[in-house]
Amino acid sequence: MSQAEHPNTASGPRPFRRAAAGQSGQEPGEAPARPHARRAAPDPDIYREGGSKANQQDAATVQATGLSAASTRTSWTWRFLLAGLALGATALAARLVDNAIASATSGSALGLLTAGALGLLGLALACLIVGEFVSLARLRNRSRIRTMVDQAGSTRDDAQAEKALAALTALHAKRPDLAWSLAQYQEAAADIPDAADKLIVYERLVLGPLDEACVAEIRTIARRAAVLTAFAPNPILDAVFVLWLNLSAIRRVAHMQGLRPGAAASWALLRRTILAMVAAGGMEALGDMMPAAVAGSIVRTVARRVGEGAVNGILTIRIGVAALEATRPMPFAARERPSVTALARQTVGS
Amino acid sequence: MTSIVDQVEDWLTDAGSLLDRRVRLGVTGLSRAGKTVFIASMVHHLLHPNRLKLLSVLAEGRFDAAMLQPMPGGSVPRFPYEAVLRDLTGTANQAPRWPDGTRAVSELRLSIRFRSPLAFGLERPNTLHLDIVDYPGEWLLDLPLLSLNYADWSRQAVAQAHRGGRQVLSAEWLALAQSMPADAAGDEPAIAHTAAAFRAYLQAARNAPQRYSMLQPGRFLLPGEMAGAPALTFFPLPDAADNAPRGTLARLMADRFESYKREIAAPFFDHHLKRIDRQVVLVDMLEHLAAGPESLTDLKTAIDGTLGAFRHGESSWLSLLFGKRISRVLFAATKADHLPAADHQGLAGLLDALVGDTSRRLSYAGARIHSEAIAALRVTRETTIETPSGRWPGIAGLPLDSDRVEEVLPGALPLTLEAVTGSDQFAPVAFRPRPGDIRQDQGPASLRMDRALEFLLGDALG
Repeated sequence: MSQAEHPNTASGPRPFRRAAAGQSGQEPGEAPARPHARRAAPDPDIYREGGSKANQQDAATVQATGLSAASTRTSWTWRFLLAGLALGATALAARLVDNAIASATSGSALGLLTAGALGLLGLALACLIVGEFVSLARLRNRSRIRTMVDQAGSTRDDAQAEKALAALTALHAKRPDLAWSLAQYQEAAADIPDAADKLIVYERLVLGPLDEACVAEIRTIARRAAVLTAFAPNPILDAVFVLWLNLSAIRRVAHMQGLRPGAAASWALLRRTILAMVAAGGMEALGDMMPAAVAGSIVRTVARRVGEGAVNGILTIRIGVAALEATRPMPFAARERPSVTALARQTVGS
Repeated sequence: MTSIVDQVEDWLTDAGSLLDRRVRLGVTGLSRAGKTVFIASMVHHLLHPNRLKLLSVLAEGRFDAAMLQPMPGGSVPRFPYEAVLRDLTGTANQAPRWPDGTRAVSELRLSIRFRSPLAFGLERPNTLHLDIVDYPGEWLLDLPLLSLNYADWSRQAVAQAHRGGRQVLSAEWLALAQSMPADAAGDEPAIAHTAAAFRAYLQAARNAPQRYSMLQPGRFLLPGEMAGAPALTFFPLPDAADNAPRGTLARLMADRFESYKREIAAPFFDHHLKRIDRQVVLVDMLEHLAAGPESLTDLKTAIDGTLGAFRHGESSWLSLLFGKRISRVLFAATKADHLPAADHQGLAGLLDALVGDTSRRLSYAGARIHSEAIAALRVTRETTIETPSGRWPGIAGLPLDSDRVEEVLPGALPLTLEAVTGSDQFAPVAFRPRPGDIRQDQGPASLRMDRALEFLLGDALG
């Protein structure tokens, strides 16, 4: 059988047709593995015009400031400090364990009880540590998927987009609340030949409702923060309330995104959130004037406390949106990042 | 009796409609590229917008409805959307089929109601009037003639007629033309005879296995109501000189050529194509890839020449004074559903390569360019075909020349234009719609129509 003589011709199956029913037609010739044709990446931005330029820059800045791997590096001072603390704790524990073992080996009833308690304690500790590692790994996995989606979106590489899609569906497949969205996505995806485009539809159909729910939750908490600040009897209590509400906003968003962060993951998440907020902050220079404008006008008309409440509410919105960005498995591309200014207006400005 | 209040309300409505957006979309494509089906699919999609997943106006829920409107001004027939759709869906006693080739100009206005986003999540109701024009693709090749004079065109056409496989087809006409002295007066029967031979050559070239595209003048292939008119009775002369003296054959031919340009080509361009501000260039790459390198070279000449007649560039406030420019051009390789999905990028890449020079020129002028492998209507499905040499991604559909669904491997798509040999290594099969493929009441299955429309209209629907 003659094969492709020209070096530029894709070697592949020879033209072939047969009735679909399965009658044998003429057999095609022998053919080696066939390389897929590829072309240079076209302008990937044409489908992203919906998102404003600022948003894309946001995403870029978040990348640059290192929401991903780079930022998780800890300084050496901290490491030594932590190592020291851990050593101290271990020494203390070892002593306790020594005592306990001594009493356990004595064979008395109390000794057995102590041994049992120690065993349970050890098991609990192990569970806790494993849990921490798992939740940290989940958080890292988010960043990994986000980077993957981002790259697949900009290179329009089908294989990579396919991989990102598999990771996303694995993440969301077990959630009953997303079953409907996923079914809708599956139906839509049947019409779409390119995996990179499927990512766009995935973001709109599956992440869209989730975003909306998160934003609604953030607004509720922000409203609570605003009201609490306005009525808090003293400034310290007010600060404690707001801190607690802001942390709960982060936790709630993480929960809704399917994360159950333990202590270490919560800490990591807080750092990512703050980084995302800082990155977004630069872009929202205009938005920065928003609290002042909202608060200012209210200060003049109603009272100073209410104005402060508005400021705190806006802070909560900001933190909530940043947490959303940090926990979302995809970057904001087909959907716009929720605008803090618009949310602030709807929530506390009116 | 209309009250003054009603009157004022009418005026206000009229004034409001001045703010509506208008886009005139030029669907450009040579004959058989799929213009009519593209237009019908676009209209059908927008009227039943359940499958345009990537059109952001729909994805963002800002789309209200689309309606077919009577075209303002009554001199051009309406695009027969319903008749084309009936062809495609089939009827009780008529199997679905591709619509016949277009034989005359027609226009259609589709108005889209949607909401434009404003700041702070607010929206403003808006209207886009999308004007679409369909015409015989053959006539498009008259556009390059507008910038040529008779002597130049003659030289070009005669040189072309000597090239490659055209030589055989043009032999009779060339022999006749050479036997007629250019500097003597010609007699009308002989002229008519030679013109008929010239027309026969064009027809033969069109149907030749090489699928020649560069066939001028377009009305010779599809004269419409002009058949037999003197303006259509001319031909290129091998030794036509500039400024031939009065009374000679060359002068007569030149006069007829000029009147063809003035009375046929120019009005067609001015009335229907000049004012477009978006353009989609449909190219049936598969046919020409299968036909071989000569066919592709000819196609490239035709596309480059045709697009040269349009004005591309960024629209600015100056366009109010000096007329619109085409700000977006989509090059679309049609019938992508005739290849397995793995080949689509390759197909678009080949189109990119083919129109590379032109698209660079348009980009430089300021227009936005994009290319895409599309299928306005999808009439095949993906399948995997088991052969002794392995499992290959193939397609299944109803071939034009068969009555039963077949599984097809189109063969190896060339990776570059230079690799196109026209051999039987690559032999795409032409398919036709099956009953149920296209339905009256829902959006048709298609490939990347949403991407195409997003590029062409996304900003106008923002």
